[in-house]
Amino acid sequence: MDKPVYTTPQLIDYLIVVVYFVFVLGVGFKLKKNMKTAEDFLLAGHHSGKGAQGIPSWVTGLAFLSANLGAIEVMGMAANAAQYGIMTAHFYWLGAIPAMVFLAVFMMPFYYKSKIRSVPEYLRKRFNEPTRAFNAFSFAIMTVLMSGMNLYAMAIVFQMILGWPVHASIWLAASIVLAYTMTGGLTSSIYNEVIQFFLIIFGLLPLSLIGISRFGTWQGLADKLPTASMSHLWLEVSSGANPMGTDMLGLVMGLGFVLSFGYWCTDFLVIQRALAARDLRGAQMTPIIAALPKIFFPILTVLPGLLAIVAMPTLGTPGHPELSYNNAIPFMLSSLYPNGLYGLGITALLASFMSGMAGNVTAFNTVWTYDIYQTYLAKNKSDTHYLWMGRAATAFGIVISVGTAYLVMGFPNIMDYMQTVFSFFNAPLFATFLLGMFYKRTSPWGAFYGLVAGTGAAVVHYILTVQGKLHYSTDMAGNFHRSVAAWTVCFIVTLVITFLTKPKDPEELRGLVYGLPTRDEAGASLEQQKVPFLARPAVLGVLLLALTVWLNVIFY
Amino acid sequence: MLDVRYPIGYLFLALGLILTVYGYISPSVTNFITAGGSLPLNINIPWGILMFLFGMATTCLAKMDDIKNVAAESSEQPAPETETGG
Repeated sequence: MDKPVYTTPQLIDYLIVVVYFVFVLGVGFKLKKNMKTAEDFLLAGHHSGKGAQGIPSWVTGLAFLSANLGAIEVMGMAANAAQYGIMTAHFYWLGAIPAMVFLAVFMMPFYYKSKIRSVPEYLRKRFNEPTRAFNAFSFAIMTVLMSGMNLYAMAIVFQMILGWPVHASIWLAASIVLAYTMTGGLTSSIYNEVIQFFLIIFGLLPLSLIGISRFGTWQGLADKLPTASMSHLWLEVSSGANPMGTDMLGLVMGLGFVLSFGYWCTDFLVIQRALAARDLRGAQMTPIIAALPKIFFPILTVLPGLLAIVAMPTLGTPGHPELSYNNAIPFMLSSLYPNGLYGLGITALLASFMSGMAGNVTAFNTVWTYDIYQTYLAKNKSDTHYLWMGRAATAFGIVISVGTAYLVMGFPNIMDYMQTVFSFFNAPLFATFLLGMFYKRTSPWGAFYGLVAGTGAAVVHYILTVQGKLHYSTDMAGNFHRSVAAWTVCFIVTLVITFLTKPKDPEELRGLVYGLPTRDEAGASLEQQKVPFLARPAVLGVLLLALTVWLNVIFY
Repeated sequence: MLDVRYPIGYLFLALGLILTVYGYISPSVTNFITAGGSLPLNINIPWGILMFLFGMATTCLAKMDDIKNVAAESSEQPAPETETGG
């Protein structure tokens, strides 16, 4: 086995981490005086009209990206790349980019114009209360699970790199996130996400630069990979002999369509950031602005994973937790970075976990306060009361996350576990949204039973897989197929029930469904035409898609 | 409200400065030895300078907008707020 030499942290590395923490907390305290109402705190003020002077779309765009740039993205994608090769880039070039463009061009107008405060609230307006309740509760559970996972990943890195005890790390990280989200709310979270975005780039880019300089060219690296198919996106997909063990249906329909569109187009965590923009155009530009750097993210996540498996071929040996694929990035950091830069790399990792966690916590406190607390527990209270509840929800969201961090610790493979959760909740939800936004006949009860049936189908599929009645060569392939099943069941059941039940009155659906504009929308569309051709979201979206297709061709 | 470019700018100015200074006072500037092999240059120096420049650019952009806003405010009345709450 390789005996890698590691950089050990010195005073300078700690100094960099400390400087960063001071800034993170400073932003929260600086914003505290702006948080006067519940909407300031939970929605970054976009409903009270403060959005007009509030957050520009490049800020919401980078926050949109960064809130998702948590443990799964950074450590998980690198781990996947070390295991499955460059096919991991399908998560970006087949999945995320088309989904983000679709969200910007087709779905964002309905989200923004319906003046909703959360995704579950859209479901109430478009369908009915039970559909909202189902989504609000499942989403609340999902966010605390995800945020706990980020905490756990952060603690593991602290332990591996800095030698700190896991328990202390979990509590320390939780208190820092608590401090800046409690004080500055969503705005503070968004601001910190933007800072974190730049830190992640500056902290991880040298890894890829130093790494690739060792091999000279992409081909130089590709030749060293364990198998030739690890350097291709599409080459072995039709034969099924690819490292991911997936087929065309699972990859294109499961990952490319259901999982990616399900996540990027319906997950309130990301939608919330776009809704904080100052106007509709800003909200539409949020995913477009986010998509451009996203196209190049494989350089920061997939490439280090590929470099890691070449530098340390024993990575992924079963029965050796210290050789887990998840350690690809920490391993590369400590073997390539000198002190100084090493501190920056550690800071980048911490930043990514904190932004992932804060993103989940700020989405949780909004859904909790508006969709659960205000709806079922305490109606018609004063705004001061809901502001107080928003802060309290932030605190107990973080405390629950500490609990889920310990829960996650008990699972041998956290990544697969979380992908499973995604396929349960996001995959069927996307069918509900597609039908709800683009087909006005879709009835409230159709949506509810479709959603329940879709989630149920995912659970049944999961049980059958665990029992061995359904077999997939990798867990990833199983996840892809489970989401296809959940989506299809939800789609069909929703349609069938729709034809058996009464639809909503079209007048109630104005501004919520495609083809039913609100009264004042004619003027708004005229205003849109004043935007220069090349600055329109749809035109930029097409350019982004063209770039993505080109990358798929290069790395076929 | 606080312009987010200020905290970004100041943070990168500080981190860039720390890295660059640390790079210069460390024993070797060229043929720099790291755990996983040697580098032609002590990477802390160029990377620190790059971060410092990024911090400077961000701070300057925010400052320029501030100056523009102050100039606009002094020359005309602020526009009335038209948007209503939802």
